[in-house]
Amino acid sequence: MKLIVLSGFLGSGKTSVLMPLAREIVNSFEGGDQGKLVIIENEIGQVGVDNVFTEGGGYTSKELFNGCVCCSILGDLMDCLVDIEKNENPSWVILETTGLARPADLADGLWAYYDDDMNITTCVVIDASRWMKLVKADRLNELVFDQISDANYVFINKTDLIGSDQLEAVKEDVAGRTEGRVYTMSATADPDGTNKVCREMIEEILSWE
Amino acid sequence: MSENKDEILEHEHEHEHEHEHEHEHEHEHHHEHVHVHVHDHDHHDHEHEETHTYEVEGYELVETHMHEGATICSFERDIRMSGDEARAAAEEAYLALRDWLNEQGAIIGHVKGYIKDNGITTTFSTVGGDLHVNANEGTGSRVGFASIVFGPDEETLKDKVIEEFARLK
Repeated sequence: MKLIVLSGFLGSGKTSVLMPLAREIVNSFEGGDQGKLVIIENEIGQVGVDNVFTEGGGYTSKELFNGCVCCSILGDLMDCLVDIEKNENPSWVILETTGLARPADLADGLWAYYDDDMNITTCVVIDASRWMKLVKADRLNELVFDQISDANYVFINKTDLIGSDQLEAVKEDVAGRTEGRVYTMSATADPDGTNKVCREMIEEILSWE
Repeated sequence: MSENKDEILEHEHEHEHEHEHEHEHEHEHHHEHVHVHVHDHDHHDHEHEETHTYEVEGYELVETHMHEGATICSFERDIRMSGDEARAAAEEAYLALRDWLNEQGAIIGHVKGYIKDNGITTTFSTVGGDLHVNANEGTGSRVGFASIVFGPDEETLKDKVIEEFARLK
């Protein structure tokens, strides 16, 4: 079972990336079997909102509310994954975390539980139009730096909202803070470009097998 | 798979203590292209405080809590208003809340929600700038809301949310 942890600060566009990512995963299966993918939505509050955005996609989805899977409800996540493996046994799981999650801590917790025998890819989405402000915001900057530092992939999203000079500044700043592969995209304004990025990521993960 | 879930959960609870701990570890993923993931990061002490729920007339659920310095407020309710009237009232409420938060100098993580009514699900989302409103086919009849912001305390945010969403009946 391959797990993609889709993370990134609040409002960065994780949910907008989730659907193209799910589609590219399903397209990679012979016959496009949607049953081989399960989506887990983690919401920090007790009310699920992001799952409403993705409803109607036809995917099997699970919800984990009222906490963050990297810390306060890590145990619930483990139970959920065990359950999914037992009942659905999918090839892929996409976990969309809350915007406050620290994916490296989450991955460490899961590897410790699975004795390192779990294929986890962390993909962190950032908002190009807010990045340089977050970089200067005390305490918040520590969170966003932590989110990207150990990411396998960083998607610089919402590039349509800024000019090319600003984008270069964001790319340079992000590249200096992560060893992950960095892509630029605009999930809502350029769906074809987003699909291409997601496809490349999935193909690369599959090539590791 | 390790059967040390309780140990992991104990480890999780250790994050609530005041100390920090460092560890180095190396993960070798079982890929042909060996994705050796060597990193050295401090595990962060996560701050998640208890959830407060409130009895508010007309609401099924109103809750707040703090997490990593962010104030979270969510609610769920049914409404009698329908269709365009509800969507217009909701849009006003979101914009008013957004403007108030910006005036307070708060950092808006995300303010979002939905209205399900008569086969249409309308979603609302703002991170402090434009309010994005989208309508799609959906099922059910419900209003859901979630806000994650940095600035106001739980009581202040909850009171403001209830005040602005009183437009929805």
